[in-house]
Amino acid sequence: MRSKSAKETDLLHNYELVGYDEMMATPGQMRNHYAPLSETLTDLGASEIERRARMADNIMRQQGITFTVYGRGQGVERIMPFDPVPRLVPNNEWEKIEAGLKQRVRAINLFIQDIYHERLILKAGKVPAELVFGASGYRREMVGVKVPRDIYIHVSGIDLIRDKDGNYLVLEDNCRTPSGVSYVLKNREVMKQAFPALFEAYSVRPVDDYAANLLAVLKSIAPAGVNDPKIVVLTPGVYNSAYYEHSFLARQMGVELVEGRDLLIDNGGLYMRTTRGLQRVDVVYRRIDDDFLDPLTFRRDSQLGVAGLVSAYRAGRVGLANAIGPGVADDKGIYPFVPEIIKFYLDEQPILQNVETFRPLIPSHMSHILANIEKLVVKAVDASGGYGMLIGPASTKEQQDEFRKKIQDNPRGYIAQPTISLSQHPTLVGDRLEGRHIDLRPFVLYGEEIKILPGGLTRVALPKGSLVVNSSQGGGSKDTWVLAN
Amino acid sequence: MLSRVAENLYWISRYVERADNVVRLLADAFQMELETGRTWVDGPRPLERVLKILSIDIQSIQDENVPSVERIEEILRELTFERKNDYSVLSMLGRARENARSVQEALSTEAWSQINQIYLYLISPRATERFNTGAYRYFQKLKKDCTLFTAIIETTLPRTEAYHFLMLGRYLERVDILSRIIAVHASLLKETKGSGPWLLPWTNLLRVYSANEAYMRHSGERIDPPGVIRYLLLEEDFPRSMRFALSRCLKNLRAVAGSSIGASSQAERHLGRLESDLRYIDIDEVLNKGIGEFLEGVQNTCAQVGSEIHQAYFRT
Repeated sequence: MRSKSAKETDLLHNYELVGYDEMMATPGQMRNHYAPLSETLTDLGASEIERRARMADNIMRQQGITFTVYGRGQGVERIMPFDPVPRLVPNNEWEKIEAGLKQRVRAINLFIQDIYHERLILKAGKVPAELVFGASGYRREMVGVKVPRDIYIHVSGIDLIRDKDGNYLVLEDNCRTPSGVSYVLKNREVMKQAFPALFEAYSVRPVDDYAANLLAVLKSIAPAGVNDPKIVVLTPGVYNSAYYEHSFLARQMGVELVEGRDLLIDNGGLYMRTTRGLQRVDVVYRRIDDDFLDPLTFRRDSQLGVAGLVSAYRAGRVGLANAIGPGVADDKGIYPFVPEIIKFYLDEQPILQNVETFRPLIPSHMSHILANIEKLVVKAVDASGGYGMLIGPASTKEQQDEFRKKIQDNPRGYIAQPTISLSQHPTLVGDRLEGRHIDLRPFVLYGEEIKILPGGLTRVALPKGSLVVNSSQGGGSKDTWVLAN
Repeated sequence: MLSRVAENLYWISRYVERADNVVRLLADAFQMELETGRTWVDGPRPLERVLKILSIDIQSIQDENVPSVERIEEILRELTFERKNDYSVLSMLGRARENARSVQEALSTEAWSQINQIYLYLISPRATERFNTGAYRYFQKLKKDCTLFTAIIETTLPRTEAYHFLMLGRYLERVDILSRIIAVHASLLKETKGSGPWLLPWTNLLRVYSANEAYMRHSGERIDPPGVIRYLLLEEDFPRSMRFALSRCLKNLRAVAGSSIGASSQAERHLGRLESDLRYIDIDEVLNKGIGEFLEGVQNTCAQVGSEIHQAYFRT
């Protein structure tokens, strides 16, 4: 660790440490791997950094790297605010994350396979059956259905945070259609254009091969006997908030981007409408939730899906990524059991820990929750995006009472966690760096083997003190560098 | 290629082509309005002619004798920036951009980025500022932006279906709007003979299409209405002439049809017939028989071809 030099006092003037800081070990003590970055930033100077950050924003805007925010009329396209200070992850740290993610995704996949088939884990009493069958992501249509290689979770995004000691913890598993990987790739591209000098002192692991790896995964789930599968990306359409990503991935892989209305089932097979008539489709990377995939099976009002797709899938005539049904693992009621799941299927200790979680079903937990609700975050198990949530320290007495009652009425419906302190990272604010809270979403591909994109999406809560990194609520992002040794 | 994607591509280039034409017309009309100002004799004023071409009914600019520069700029502003007006440059390029956004993967990244930039610039305060300080210069920029989009398509897209649908839209639109423009100009013919200020609209028409220099080099004569009409309709080598656009249109239609001859045979027959008309026609004969009627026929063909393309490729 190194002492702060006089030069750095400008950018880091009055830099405050809160919780775990990615760059500073203690006030005045910089972690070694951040020293060259800090020097280069200081050399560039605040106004030059700002100028280049604006340039980075411009590149994003011109390329239409946007997401859509709903609410006002038809939705507004925005770029995700880009913070130019990259997050550095030393190689040894990354190796542990990688091992932990592989272990976790492998175990969750076995769990999904099991609950749609033998249900050994339920018979062993390790996970309450009613929790599984009551989960909103559980799909009884998948019971007994054999999927290629028994893999359900081809693409996942696992949200990680760091506690006050710097330990990486899993906050959430996203096993349905996680978004954000296009920002990982674009952030890197923009970073190389706007801040080439920052790369000088480091050797950063490249992220470019994601699309090629994804394509390989998709090829691996083609129906039996199809050698050169026709692959498509299925999007809800241009008004979806992640539309840019869908389009980006299709382009990177060189496959068609289709909407539900471009597809139809004919004689049991999936086809798309082309200028030369109907053309066979073998594999779909769907970016539409299960609910909307097929109006004959799921929501009847869905205009986004394809009537009959589920039976074509069950008959093995089309490959789907992700498979139908892994959403049960995203359920917050299942989350506390993932360490159990890892032990049960792999006979291993979890490498990455969960955030401490209290379950009202357990009497001692229930009394702890009721007594300490003002300090806890309470989440409804089948909600996401900040809905059905109580943030104890920010809540009123009435809200606390209301949630106490809800929890007692429906103990299965909730979990509670200590208010989580995310780690912070230096972030450009005006002409200096200030600490802002961050999380990390690495992306995991599961085909013939498990591959993890080195890095992932680091989201930043831009308002001072905020813990909300969600892009629709003012969160930004930054490039994430996994350092090669 | 997906039918939806093909349809979008076709419309992207139709909109860009139309916007480019409107910008050209507006730039020219603005210059003429300034120059001739109060000395305009009779007949429709330059801006009025543009409105007629676009079939737009903006409260007449003939009101109160001569429109002021402010009033002219107001109309130009509306035709450029008004979202509610379907024929404004912003509306057309906005639609082109929205279509492009939903088929980014079929365009090249650079082509998408260009159309996106044109649009973002149009809706930015900088564009309005630039317009206010000099509408003509602003139009020059827009023209260049559209040309750049076309050039990026030319230099980044493989000659596959996507490219051919883009070209099909572009050239069909070119034929269509050219026939409207010439029709409105030709309606002046009845009232004009000889030279004098009446030649001005024809010189300007050439200028709208950046054809004035090529015309002079080619004909080596003075400018006269039949000469201009002949050049813009029948000249084989000029890229904005009707004959040139038609032959490209036909070529791309055939490329799109590929081996499946049957699907597009109707559209191809219509286009082919018109193309051979233009190849063998005698301009004096057309003028004597009535250019208006001839151009109406062209517009009908365009409409018919458009709907046949729609039937054959976009409605699987």
